[in-house]
Amino acid sequence: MLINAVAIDDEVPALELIQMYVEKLPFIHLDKSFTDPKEGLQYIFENQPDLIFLDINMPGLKGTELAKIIQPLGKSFIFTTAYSEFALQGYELQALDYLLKPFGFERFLTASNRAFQEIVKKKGEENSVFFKDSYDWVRVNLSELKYVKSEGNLLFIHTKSGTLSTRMTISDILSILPNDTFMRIHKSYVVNLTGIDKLEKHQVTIAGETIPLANAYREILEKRLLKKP
Amino acid sequence: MKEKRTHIIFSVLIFLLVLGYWLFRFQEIVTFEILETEENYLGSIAVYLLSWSFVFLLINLVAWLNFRYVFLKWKESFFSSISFIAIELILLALVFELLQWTTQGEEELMKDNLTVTLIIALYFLAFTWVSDLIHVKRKQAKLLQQKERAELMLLQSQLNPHFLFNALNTTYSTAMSEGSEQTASQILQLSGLMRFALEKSKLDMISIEDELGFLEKYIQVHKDRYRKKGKDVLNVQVVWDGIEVQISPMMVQPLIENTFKFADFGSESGKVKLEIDLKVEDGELTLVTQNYFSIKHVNENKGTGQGIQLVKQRLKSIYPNRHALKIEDDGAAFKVFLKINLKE
Repeated sequence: MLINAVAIDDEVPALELIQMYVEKLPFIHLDKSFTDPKEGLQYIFENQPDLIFLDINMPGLKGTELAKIIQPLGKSFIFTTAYSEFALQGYELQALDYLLKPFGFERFLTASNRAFQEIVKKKGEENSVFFKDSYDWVRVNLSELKYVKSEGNLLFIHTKSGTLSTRMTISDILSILPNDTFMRIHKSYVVNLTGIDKLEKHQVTIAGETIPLANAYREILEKRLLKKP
Repeated sequence: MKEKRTHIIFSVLIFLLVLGYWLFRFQEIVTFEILETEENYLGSIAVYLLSWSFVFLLINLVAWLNFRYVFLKWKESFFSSISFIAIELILLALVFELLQWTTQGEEELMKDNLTVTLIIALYFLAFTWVSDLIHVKRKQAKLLQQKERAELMLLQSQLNPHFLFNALNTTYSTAMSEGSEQTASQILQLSGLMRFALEKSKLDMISIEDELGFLEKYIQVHKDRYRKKGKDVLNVQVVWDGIEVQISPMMVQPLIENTFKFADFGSESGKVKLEIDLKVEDGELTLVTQNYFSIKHVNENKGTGQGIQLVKQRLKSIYPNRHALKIEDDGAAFKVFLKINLKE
C-alpha cells in the first residue's frame, strides 16, 4: 500500500526538505506541493490525498484554519511549523503529529509511521510499521512483533521470523506503537503484551526468551496483564 | 574620556584667570578698607574672602532650595502659577528685609539694598535657568537609555523563535540538499538547544529525560568544537536508569559550561583534560566534573563568577537540604562534585 500525500508551506526550502525525506520512504508518495494554501485546499478537495503535511503560519490562510475546513473529509494531517505555541491547538484539531522546524529525518519517520498506521487502520488493512534495517525497508506486522530492545542509538526489533536493527530511540518507537498492546517494562525494553507467556518478579518470558522487568514498571504491568483493579 | 579631561583642565584655567583678574582689580579696594596694621594684612584678607564666600554659598544654597522645592514643584504642577509668583515675591521681600536689617534700616542705603535685591533676583533667575537645563538634560539621557533598552527588548522579541527557527529550517534544508549531512545535523542540534533554552527553560520543572537530552546535545556541540584536538582528551559519560523524575531546568548546565570554558585543550600531552560523569539513578542526580587548566588560560577567559553563584542560589531555593555541592581547585585541576535528591 502506498500513501498519497501533499505538502503545503509558503516557504520553498521547507517543501524541498519534505520532498527529500519522503523520497527516502517506500510507503509515501508526495503527489504535489503548494506554496499557496488556497491552491492546496482546492487540490485536496479534488484529489482526496491520504495525508497532508501542513505549515501553520502562512499568509492568506493559516494551516489551522485549513485543517478546520477539511476536517469533514476525515483526512490525516501533520503540522510542520516553527511555532510551538500552536501545539495544543494542533492536537485539538486531531493532527496526527506536530513537527517543530527544523526537524530531522528520524523525527519525520516517526510521524510518517504513525500516519501509515492510522491510514492503514482507516482502510481496514493489518496494522504494521516500516523499519529501516541498514539500507532496506522492512515491513513488520505488529502481531508478529515480540519485543524491542534498545542498545545505544540502535533498536533491535525481535519478531516471530527474526531480528532486525534500526536507528531509532526508545521514545520514538513508543510513540509509534499502539499503547494498548505495547508497553515499556524496562529502560531499554518495550514488549508486546499479547506475547507474554510468563510473568515473574524481575522478568517476563516471551516465546522462551526472558526479558528483564524494572521495579518502576512492575506494578503497572501487573495491573494491565492480570486486570487488577 | 580624554575629551572630558581636556575640558576640565580648560575650565579650571579660565576659572583661575578670571579669579586672578578680579583679585587684582579688587586689591586696591581691599587694601584700602582694611590696611590698618601690617601684621593684620593677610589675616584681614582671609577674613574678607571667608565672609564673602560664606555670603556666596548662602545665596547659592537659597537659590538651590528655591530651584529644588519651589521651581521644580511648580514645574511638576504641584503649585499654581499664582502661588509660585507669590512665593518668589515673598522670598525677595525676605532678602530685602535681611539686607535692611544688616544695614540697620538706614534710609540712605535703602536704594542700594533694592539694587542688590534686584541683582540677587537676577542671580536666582540665572541659577534656576542653568539648573533646569542640567536637570532636563539628565532626564533626557535617562529617558534615552530607557528607550534604547526598550528598543533592544523589542528587537529581541521580534527576532524571537519563529523567525529564527524558520531561518534555521531554510539553512538546514539547504545543507541537506547539498548533501552536507554533518552541517545539517549540527544545525539540528543547535536548533534543539535553542528551542530548549527558549521554551523549556521557562518552566519550573521538566522531566529528567528532556533535561538529559538537552545536556547531551549541549555536550555534543562542545565536543564538535574540540573535535580537531582529538577525542582522547575528553571523557564524558551520561547515565540514566530510566526512572522518571522531575528537575528544575538548566540546573547543571552552568557547571558543565564552566568545565569546557576553563579546560585547557591547548597544551600537548595525551592525558585526559576533561571528565564529566553525570548519573541519575533512583531519583538522585550525581555530577562529577574534573578539568585540568593552565592559569594563563583561566585568566584569559575569566568570567564574573556569577554562573556558579547563581547555581548555588538556585540550589538553595529549589533543593534546600537536598543537595551537596563541593568545588575544589588544587591549582592544576578544577573539580566539581554535585549531588541532588530530586525525589520529593
